Amino acid sequence: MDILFNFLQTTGFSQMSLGNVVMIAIGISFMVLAITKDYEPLLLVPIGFGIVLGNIPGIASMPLGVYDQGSVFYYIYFGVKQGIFPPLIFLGIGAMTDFSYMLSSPKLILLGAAAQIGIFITLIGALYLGFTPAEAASIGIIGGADGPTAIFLSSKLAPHLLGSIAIAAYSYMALVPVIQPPIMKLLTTKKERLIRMRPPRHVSKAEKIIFPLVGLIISAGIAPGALSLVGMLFLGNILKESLVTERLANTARNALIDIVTILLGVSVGASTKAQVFLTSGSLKIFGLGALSFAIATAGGVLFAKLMNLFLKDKINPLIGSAGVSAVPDSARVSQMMGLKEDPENHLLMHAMAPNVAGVIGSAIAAGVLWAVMVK
Amino acid sequence: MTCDKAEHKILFYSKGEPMISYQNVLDGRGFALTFVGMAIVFLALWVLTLSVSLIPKILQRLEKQFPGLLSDGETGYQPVRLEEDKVELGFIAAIAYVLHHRRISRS
Repeated sequence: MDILFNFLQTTGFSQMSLGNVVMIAIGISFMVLAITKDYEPLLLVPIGFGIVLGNIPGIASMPLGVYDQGSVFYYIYFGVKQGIFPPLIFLGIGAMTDFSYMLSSPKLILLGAAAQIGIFITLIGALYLGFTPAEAASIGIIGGADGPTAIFLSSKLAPHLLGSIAIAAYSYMALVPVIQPPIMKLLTTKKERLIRMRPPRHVSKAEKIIFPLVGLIISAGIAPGALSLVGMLFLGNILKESLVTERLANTARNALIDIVTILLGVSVGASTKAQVFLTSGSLKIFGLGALSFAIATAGGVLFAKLMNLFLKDKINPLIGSAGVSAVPDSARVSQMMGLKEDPENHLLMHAMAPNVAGVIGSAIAAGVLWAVMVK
Repeated sequence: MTCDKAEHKILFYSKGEPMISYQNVLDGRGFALTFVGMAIVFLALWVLTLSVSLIPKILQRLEKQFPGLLSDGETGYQPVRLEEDKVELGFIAAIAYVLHHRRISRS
């Protein structure tokens, strides 16, 4: 009989705290949002499932969770902790990304820089709230709207906040269609929203092949901290554009990115144990994350308006918001907002330029922050 | 600047809870970080913008020097070719054909 009682004491149910129940509810709500509302399902389903998985209490003497050395999840989480998974995801993103819209309108690259203001203003906010500079930098990078970059930087600077930062980053990325439109509308006039842009020019194959090399040398040369992210991004892109490594490009953009996304999602989710996650710090991180997305959106839109003061061919400021990475969701928001004003004004192609520039911009910002913090 | 956690804990978490204060921003050199960070991001992407603008010009020169070096030496301004254009042209051709056929049959 005592064997049965001993066993019953070890069950997950007997050890479950209210915090675990809350976290399991959060995990389930992530999955419900992903499945019913189609909010970033590829990420929110594994993350949500990981949250449920990580909040089922284990047995102290058995290595089961991501924090228990020797457990399966410990080794999967190793890829997150050591910042291995984000560059692999960037490899896949590079193999998927068509930079030709950006190459056809180089001036739009600057919108991808302007939107990074969200990162740095949030850093100030996080410092104000009492976070350390390294933690503040990791929280600020949420404003880059780039999940892998946020995970990469926080794994280097504030691994203890990784779960909260990753969850905040991916949640807000899923909420881009909700967060951005009111800010975009508030900061633009109807006349500006109706601006029609010149169609992009045709980009030659040679330009597409040369760009990854030039991009790598410039961005990693200026910010070496971004080397692993931009290096893999441009490697993936040259695999795609060279047309002679189609098999490798296919693997990078399909099988590899899918495998890494599953492992990253589930292990990040499993790292959100109630005891670690349900703190006032996490609430602050969520608040700051929302602020950073809003500021980044505003930064892109306002910079587009500023550029219009000097340009002959005007830019529709709605595409400025696409500077916050979140590929391709924020570009889709620009397209949707443009179509609302003028059903024949398609902004998607134009918005893809700042959108992919934002990916490079946020990786460079992460590289800069990492370099400054470890010096 | 350092990211030594222990040191920052002494600075900000000395009583177990973070202190909300403007002084934290000054101590963490928040404004300097923001200014330098944004300047570097802008510099990197501005250099990238310049380089991207130069690539087609360099390629055009190369094409002049070594004709046929680049198989599709289209580097000047050309509207992007959309698959929809083909569909639209086919659609217009079909309508034109039907109208033409009707006019002939009436006459």
